[in-house]
Amino acid sequence: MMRRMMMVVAMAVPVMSAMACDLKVESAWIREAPSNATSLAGYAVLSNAGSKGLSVVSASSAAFGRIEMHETLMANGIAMMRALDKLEIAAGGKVEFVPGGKHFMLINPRPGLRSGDAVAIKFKDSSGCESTIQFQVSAAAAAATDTMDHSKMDHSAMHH
Amino acid sequence: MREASRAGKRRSVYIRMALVMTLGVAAGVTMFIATLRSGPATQVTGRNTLAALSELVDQQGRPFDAAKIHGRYAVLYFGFTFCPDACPLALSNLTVALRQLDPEAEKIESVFISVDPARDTPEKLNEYLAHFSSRIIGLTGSVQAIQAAEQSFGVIALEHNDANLPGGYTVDHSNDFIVLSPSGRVLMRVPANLSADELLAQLRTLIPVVEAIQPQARLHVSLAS
Ligand SMILES: [Cu+2]
Repeated sequence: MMRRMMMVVAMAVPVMSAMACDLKVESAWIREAPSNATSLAGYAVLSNAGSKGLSVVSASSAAFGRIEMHETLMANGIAMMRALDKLEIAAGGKVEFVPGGKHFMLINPRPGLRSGDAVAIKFKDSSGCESTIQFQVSAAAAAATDTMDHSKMDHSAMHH
Repeated sequence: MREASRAGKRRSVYIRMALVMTLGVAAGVTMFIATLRSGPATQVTGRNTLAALSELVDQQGRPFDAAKIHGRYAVLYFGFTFCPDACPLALSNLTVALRQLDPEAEKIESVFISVDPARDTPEKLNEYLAHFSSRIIGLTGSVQAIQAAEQSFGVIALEHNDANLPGGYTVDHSNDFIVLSPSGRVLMRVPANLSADELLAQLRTLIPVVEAIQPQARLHVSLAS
């Protein structure tokens, strides 16, 4: 009995440490693009479950040459895409990466990522905690219409 | 001289618009008028705006005939295929709006015009546009021809260097849908980062208003289809 309990504890520890990050990354998806695209955009909701502020230090993935945090800024009707040097999230705070705003710039993707694929991206926060999040690749028209009722959409009419 | 006649034209548009308003057309019209009055929409007018597009080629590499647009409504969007965020959002919104607008979408020619002709070959446009409505025509061309098209429609596009990006630059660009009347006039600009529903509402409001003002708009449409 004791021995069995210890095994459970031993197994649980590495899982716990991987899940204990205060940085949470949810609703993560990547917009599908032509297979030869040189960069893709990833979106997610980032939150800080901790009691202290934190920042996102890095994001990396075997599927991409480089990942940056970007923001599309609008000024006088002109869209400008710029790199974000850093991203801080207050204790209990939330930052949404959505189309037309903040996004993960996924540079030099592995060719052939298609709608339905899942891509692992590893995040590191300022406490040194690392977590790996699955980003779901989604077709363009369906994914962009967050404000729409998806049940009304005709998926058969979309290109894949 | 040109200014004066333009102002006169604008005034007569207002009078007709006021008439339509008093007839009690939907609330969205108010926004349309506000855009027409305050926005840059009134700066660019006339038939010659479309001529610039005839210097471009489509996603199959065929020379584009701007006469195809004349007599129909058009929604123009200037963007580029290396743009992974703002442009796919715009084209997704347009795709969804066109789908919701069917069969009314037959009245509208949708055109994506590259602001990055150095990289956007017809093949690139073709691959990129395969992810959106098959109704969208893609146009590219020489740097000079693209600049002429940008100027015709009051579009701003500026390269911004960023060494970390593939190719070393991105393009800052006007992020609007430019809606043209069947006579080729710029009717309004709709911010392209609105939701598809908002674009749809704008188009649904606009088309009956134009047809009320210019009965020939309807004629053009029936001739074209
Ligand atoms: Cu970006």
